[in-house]
Amino acid sequence: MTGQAAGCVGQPLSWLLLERHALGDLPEPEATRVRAHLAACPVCAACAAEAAHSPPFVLTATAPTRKPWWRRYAAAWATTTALACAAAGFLLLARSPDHAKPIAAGQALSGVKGGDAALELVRARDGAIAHGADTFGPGDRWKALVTCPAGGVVFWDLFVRDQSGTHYPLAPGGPISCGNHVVLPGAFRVAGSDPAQVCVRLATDPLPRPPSGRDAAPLGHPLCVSLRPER
Amino acid sequence: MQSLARYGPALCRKACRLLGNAADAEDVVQGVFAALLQRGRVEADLPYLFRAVTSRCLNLLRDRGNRRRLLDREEPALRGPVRTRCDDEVIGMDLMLKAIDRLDAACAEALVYRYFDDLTQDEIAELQDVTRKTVAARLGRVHDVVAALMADGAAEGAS
Repeated sequence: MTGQAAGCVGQPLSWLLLERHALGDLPEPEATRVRAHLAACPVCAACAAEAAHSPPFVLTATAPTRKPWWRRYAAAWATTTALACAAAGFLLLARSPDHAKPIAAGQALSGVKGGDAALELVRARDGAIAHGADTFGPGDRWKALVTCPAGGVVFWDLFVRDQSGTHYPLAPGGPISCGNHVVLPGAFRVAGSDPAQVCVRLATDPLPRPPSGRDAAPLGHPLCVSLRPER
Repeated sequence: MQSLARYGPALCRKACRLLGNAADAEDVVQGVFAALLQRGRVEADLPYLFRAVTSRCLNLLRDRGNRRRLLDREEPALRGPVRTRCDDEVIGMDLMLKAIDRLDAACAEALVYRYFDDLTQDEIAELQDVTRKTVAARLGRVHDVVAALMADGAAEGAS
């Protein structure tokens, strides 16, 4: 069990009510009732104090640390594929990672009709959100939105290119279901004083990163957006 | 988007109470706002966002692949004081995960509102846009499932 049991003097004030009270969103009669309860109930008053603490909310700069689901189920996939091929009377030959089919801007997904792939960046700065921003500052957080033909499932990887090399700010992602402006999980930061390119590679198979690490040129033809630093 | 700055901290606290760790909570809240942007919706009020965060958290919790990780990363202090119990039981993450396997989506949502967010039946009714009678029925179902799980646990402990 988690948490500690704690008693309220009556009916506990819900967290939604406490948050709305802290934000000043409650009409006066309800606010008066809340204040009266808080004056008498130290447990709810402690919760109210927590609700009143509001650090600025920014998109996180850390990449998700969880293992992509396709890796966790890799063994199951392999087994299923092998069984399917055996039933058909063929010997399964493992595919090299180089066989991942890259999808570039302007290309339609193979096997899926219509639509092109595109990348859009969203910038969060001091609580303000900007779609399609093309400049970056030191405190900005970024998220990437991908458009690809609906109905497809693609693997992706995001990298940032600048004069110092190629960087991978996000953990390799599991596959996404295509559509318009599909949000890639995780947020990242772009630093430095030189122009940079944020790029996403999409492919129909899992995308291995270059073995030599972050400075190696990524495989395939990526979708890219250029950013310039604000002076 | 003003609601991101205004409601972001409250929503992160809400997601933290349920998921037990800040990283997943932030991911969920970001996902809610990103989805709003995708739909071209600029602003939303706190009750709407509260429900959206609950729904996303439950999706995460229903995915069995996430459960071990969430249990491993759980920080009990993020739950805060537990002010509402189901009979005498504190519904923690472990019990909640077992319960939502046996509950439909609406009942699982009601469980979260009642035992993690301390909402009254009237508040749940408003949030879920149903009558109080329906909420009472849903919480009754939650109660039965929790009681059954506790009985199962006691039986396993005795054998």
